[in-house]
Amino acid sequence: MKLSGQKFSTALPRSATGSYCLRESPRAADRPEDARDTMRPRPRQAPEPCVLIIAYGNPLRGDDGVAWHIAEQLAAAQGQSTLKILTRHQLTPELAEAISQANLVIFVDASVGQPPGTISCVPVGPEMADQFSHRFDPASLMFCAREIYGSAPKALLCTIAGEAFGYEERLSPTILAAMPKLLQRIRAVIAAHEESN
Amino acid sequence: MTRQIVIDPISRIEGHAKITIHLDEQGVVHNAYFHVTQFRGFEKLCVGRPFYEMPSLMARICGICPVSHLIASAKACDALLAVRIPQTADKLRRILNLAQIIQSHALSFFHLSSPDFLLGMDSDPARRNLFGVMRARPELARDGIRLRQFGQQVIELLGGKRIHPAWVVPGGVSEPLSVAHRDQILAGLPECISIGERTLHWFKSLLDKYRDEIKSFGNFPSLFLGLVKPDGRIAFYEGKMRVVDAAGNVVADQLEAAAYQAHIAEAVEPWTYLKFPYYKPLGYHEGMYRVGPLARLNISDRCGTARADQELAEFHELQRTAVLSSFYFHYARLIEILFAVERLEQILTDPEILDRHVRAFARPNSNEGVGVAEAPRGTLIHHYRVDENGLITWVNLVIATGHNNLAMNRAVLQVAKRYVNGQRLSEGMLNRVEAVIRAYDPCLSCSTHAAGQMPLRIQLVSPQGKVVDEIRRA
Repeated sequence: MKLSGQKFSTALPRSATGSYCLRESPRAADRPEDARDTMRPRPRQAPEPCVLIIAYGNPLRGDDGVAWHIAEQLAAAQGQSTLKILTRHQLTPELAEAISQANLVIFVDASVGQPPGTISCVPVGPEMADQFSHRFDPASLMFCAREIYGSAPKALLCTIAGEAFGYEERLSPTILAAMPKLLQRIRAVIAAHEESN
Repeated sequence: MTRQIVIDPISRIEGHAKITIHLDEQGVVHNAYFHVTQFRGFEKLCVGRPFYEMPSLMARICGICPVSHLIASAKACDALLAVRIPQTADKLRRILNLAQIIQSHALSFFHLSSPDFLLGMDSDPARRNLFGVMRARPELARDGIRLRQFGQQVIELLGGKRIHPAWVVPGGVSEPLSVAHRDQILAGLPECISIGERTLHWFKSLLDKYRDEIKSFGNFPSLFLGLVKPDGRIAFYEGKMRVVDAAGNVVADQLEAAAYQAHIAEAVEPWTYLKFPYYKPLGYHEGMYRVGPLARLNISDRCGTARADQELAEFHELQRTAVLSSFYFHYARLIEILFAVERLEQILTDPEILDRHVRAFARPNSNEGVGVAEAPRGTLIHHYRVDENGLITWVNLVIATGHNNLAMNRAVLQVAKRYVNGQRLSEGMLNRVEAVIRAYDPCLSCSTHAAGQMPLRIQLVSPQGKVVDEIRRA
């Protein structure tokens, strides 16, 4: 049997800029088209550096899904910047390759243990987890990117402390009120990064 | 006084379980148990739901193998409709199932078990994990991630999302395959073939190093059960059940899935939530059988693809009888990955695969339906009954991991007897006890369900260790 991969066209649509970094709406990450990211034949030259937003959490558990709302707003107003936005329920090792190809990564998540609405943006470096079970965190994903794809870019973890994590898709009023502050902070980080590059 | 060693939780498996090893006065292992400590009641909570909700509802049983439940459930619903689904829908479901096999096997082999093979059973547990693999052999970790990613991408391309896709429906699938998506999947196959081949080559080179584990990791006679096509080829979606004994003889063949209850019965024990299916003609315990990759390769005469057939022939040469050691589950898993990738190409290059007629519509025409498919971990059976309005009145799920329960318990005891010394414990000993469970790749979230009342035992124990009172419900 043949497995040449040549019998069928492998030329897939590229983004308007020809860049490896696609601009996509956060919800599109869960649509079939999004799979083009990784099913696409690997680019021969190094991909153009981009800012990668990884927004994660469970949108069916109230404030835990705040990152999805932030991703949606970033996508709606991203202008012409080279921004790649991914929404995920959880962090998995498959994200490491995309991380290694970015030059700034911003993880967005809900947090617990602080007064609801508290905003935080802290740097994240590669760190090997002591114990591996079913869960990856941003630091261990950065470790993964560095160890197996050879690059771990600058990264930040931006969070809002949640208040209600019940079974609902709505955010609590406290989180809704705090969201613009975090959005502003993230946009400022992206702007500063683009300016310096 | 007897003593007990408890390994709780068992790491690098899906779900929650513990192992207890019982020692006698001399510190010698005299018994060991694999306890599944979680309980899920899907069989009960589906009652009263419309049958057409079942595939999506059943997929929620698990985040690792939702596709397997989707497919078995949809097949059971096809039986309720009493329709023959369009051939293209049948083929599309097979693609989805094979993608699931690839991603789940990759997770089991690379993410969960490769740390033991690469770093050693006795290596530092803080490093004996996926991160340790990344550091020691980044290309191996990269291959694992890529294979899993490929399987998930295929599921996403077909089903719309990686986890809990709602594309498989009673009567077929909801959308046909587009040319672009077919080509995207085909483009990824050569890389997966290369990964499959080099990983098999690497794993086979390790076998000499693990001779002792091969001898004692669930290495005992048992039956093997799974689906095969009428000509004896391996089957994942279609086919009927075949049972093979430890000598490799076919004990029963082409058993109708719908008649599974004539061949399989389930026992319960008070110390675990996982049921114990057994081959009915031989009775409880004697009727112990294994399912999953090792069983599928033992019962199949051939695969029907070039590379996998070559590997299968080599695999069958490991032993004149059936291949008995559960350590070889890993080996079989890798051969199945290779087969799945080759088979994907066969199906995707069939011109009929792009046909747009992919769903049959009907009202329920039968009040009972059984659906069977091969999940990554083995034969998966969904059995439903509905009332005249199509509402579910009764559900029975026989899950792959459950089939292996008797064998897993026996394997734990065998490994504990071989490696555990009650006078001087080492982490490596206990890791081997866990590793034999990992060989079966149990998915415990899938496999713990209700049969009537939960089996339960509550003991009141005095500070001196004496059992003062006990309530038992089984």
